[in-house]
Amino acid sequence: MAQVNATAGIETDVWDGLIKKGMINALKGLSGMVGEEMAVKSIAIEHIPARDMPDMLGGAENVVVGVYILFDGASHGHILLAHQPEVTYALLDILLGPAPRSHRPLTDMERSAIGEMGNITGTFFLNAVADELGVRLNPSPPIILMDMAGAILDIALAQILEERDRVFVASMEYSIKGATAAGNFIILPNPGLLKLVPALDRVAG
Amino acid sequence: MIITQPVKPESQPVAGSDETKVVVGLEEINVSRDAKVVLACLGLGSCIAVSGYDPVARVGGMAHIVLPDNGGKACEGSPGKYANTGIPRLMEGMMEAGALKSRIIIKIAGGARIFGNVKEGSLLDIGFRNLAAVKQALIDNGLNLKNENTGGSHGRSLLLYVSSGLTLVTSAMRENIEL
Repeated sequence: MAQVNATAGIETDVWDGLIKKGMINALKGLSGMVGEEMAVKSIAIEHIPARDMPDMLGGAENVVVGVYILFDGASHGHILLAHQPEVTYALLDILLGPAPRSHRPLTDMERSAIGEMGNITGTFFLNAVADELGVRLNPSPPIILMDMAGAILDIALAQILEERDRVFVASMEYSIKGATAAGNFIILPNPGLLKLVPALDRVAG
Repeated sequence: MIITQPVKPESQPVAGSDETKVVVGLEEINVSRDAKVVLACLGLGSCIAVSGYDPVARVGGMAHIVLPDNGGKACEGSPGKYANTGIPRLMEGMMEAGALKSRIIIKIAGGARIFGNVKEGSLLDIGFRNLAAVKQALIDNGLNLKNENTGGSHGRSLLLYVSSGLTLVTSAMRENIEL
């Protein structure tokens, strides 16, 4: 997959730096909530065909637990925090105490805990980005989904495909307790967010 | 116009048979008369898979519709993106492969409201709008809908076995359904 080419030169650097800063802040929030050290494994900022998006989550039929947040304000876009079910169960064990969990509908308590994880992560990301840009970005309440990755991504992709065929996507993989678990934190911004970047000259890096 | 696409590298053999699953990705249309091919739209949420099958010519086709209407915009590179362009192109492709329009059996799946309680008909309710647009496009093209598995708030996959016309809907944590 090619690196993003939506902006050029210093703007790309600024944009990359901004997104990375937001993502690291998001992981800090999630780590604080879960009470476990989490480490960034990789951050990728890419411009890819929309149809390739589900591959980032293991393929269109791969079942994931996702927390979906829409944001609006100075710009709008989509945030998805997604884990394999087994990773979600491990996080729930940490948050709610050990319990037998398997592929079944999540309980209200589990949904609430997962929603809060997404809420914290999304808010920490948006706050970091909004502070740097000096704008307001408002998150929606989290939507908790356990389904095929393709189905979860459909709405975001459909909205983006109304305007263009490729998606700008930033994703982060992170580990919890060493390398035993990993998750995906995906940002799908509307192009309007990128247009805010040229005004910046203080975020680079 | 050749819509039939070569078997893609990511196509997978179907376990326990000599069939090959050919994935019809977002915005794509695929037509085949190869009896070993299983056409598949995977992980459908708000998108709709439209399958067509001519049981005499044994020609199968599938379109992965993402949005309701192109609004007059050009979409040469991805005619399957929109209901109003994808369905006529699917029919053209099937007829080029030897199908007779009057024999084509249409089945659809998808069009879910994955987010649950979105306002009906709103911009976020893309599944609902897709479903309405697909049904209208079928009418506009003189096609009858034989069966459907649509709506709800869960993801699905649709598989069409070109050898027999068998059409299966699979979902996570649910029983398979034969359409």
